[in-house]
Amino acid sequence: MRLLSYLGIQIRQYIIRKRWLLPFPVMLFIAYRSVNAIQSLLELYSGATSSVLDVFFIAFGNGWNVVLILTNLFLFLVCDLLPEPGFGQLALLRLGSRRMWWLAKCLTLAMSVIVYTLLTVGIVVAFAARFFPLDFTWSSLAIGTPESLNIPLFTPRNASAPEAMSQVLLLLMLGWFSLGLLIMVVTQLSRRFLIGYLTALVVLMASFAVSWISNPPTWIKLFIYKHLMFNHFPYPFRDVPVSQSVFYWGIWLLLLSGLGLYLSRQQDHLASRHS
Amino acid sequence: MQNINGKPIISAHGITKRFGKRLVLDGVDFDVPPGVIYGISGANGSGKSVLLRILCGLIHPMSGQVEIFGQKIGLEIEFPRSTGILIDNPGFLLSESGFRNLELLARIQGKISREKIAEALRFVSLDANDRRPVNAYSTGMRQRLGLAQAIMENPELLILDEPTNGLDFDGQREIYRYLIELRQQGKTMLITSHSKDEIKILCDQAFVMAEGKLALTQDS
Repeated sequence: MRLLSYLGIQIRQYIIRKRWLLPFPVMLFIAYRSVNAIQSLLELYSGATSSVLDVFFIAFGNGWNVVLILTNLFLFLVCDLLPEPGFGQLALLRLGSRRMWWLAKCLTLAMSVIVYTLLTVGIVVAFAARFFPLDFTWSSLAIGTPESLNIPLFTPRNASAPEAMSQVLLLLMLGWFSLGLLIMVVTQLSRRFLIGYLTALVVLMASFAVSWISNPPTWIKLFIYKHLMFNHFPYPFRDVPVSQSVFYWGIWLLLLSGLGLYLSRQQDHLASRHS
Repeated sequence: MQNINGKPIISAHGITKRFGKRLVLDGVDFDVPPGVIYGISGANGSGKSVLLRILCGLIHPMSGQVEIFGQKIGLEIEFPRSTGILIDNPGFLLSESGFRNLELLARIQGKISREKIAEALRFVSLDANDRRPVNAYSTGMRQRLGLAQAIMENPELLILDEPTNGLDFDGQREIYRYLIELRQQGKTMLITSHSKDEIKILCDQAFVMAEGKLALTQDS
């Protein structure tokens, strides 16, 4: 009961606020560009058909989109979950447990990931549905030229379109959640959310930058980009099985949530002017 | 002055806190018996707020021990029970009404009805039916809302960090009136202020905080 009420406050403080309107124009822009890209491909491959899912794969499989816009925007939306402001501290005193407090913060982050995913996918799908049919089978364009739609080669042969779509989203959601946790952990250590936010950005950008190395060394698989993306944009193959990426994120989540829990018990909740 | 006796409600011993190289609290000791108003004055940055946050369990001391109602904070219990707390900068949800803010906080423990919240608001002369967001409140109204938040669950102990901060003369007098009324109801209070005079007027026992140490004021 206490946890649920506290979560209600968190949602009011961190999800129902103006900055969550930002995904609307941003995603409309991405959807518009993605629809244009499909239309260009259809002109190139005359006779091919396309669907809303193709627009989805173009939008959520493009490394530039995902790293520079989608993930960046998500990190901005959740970057100030910590440190706890005055009202949150009053709520924490009533909650009565630092462990429950950390759990509530993680649940708030998880809810943010779900809302953000629904919002971004919803906007792209709704926009694309004005131009293409909503078909849950692979289109002829996807079968003929998957790499042009940011789908790894052979995926249309090995998996259904909804399966591929759910794998794209699973990896993104795990990645967003983990990066959000990273921000919270670094913020607990530094007492400044800006440092947490910048740390997550550096981790993200560095991994994207090294992904462009040709003939990449094996250690590159330790970087998050390889596991955030379903395809390995700009390459047409995925050289890490999805199950390994899920395992990779599992380790991240375990380490960060454990570290966050430990820090939450040591954490000093200062007045905003002190921090 | 009230007679100061009885088993202490707050017992703090050897409280030390350091932020980086700066020693903020240096072995602070004090006991607060029931039914009195204890006051701590000191300049801005003297460590009053840090001490109060340690008592509340929001900050961990580097050494020393706090007991409230006989329970060790940070060992037996994380945050003190039956304690109303006014922290500096309570930062309410600005887009919600005062009543709604208190309702959200009260819902966490689920101990009190809406009527009790309205009663707390009336006690500090705020209108429970006022639908204006806190954003539209004056500094004085926000401070009174903070006090209502602290008293609404009818705690036995009140820890109030600069309850008159930012208020004009009339606003301060009003808060004094509320605090005296609360003492008459038998509440124990620990109050901080940067004004020595304020502490002298209000409190049964007055301390001054300087250079991380707590000392009894000469004339208390």
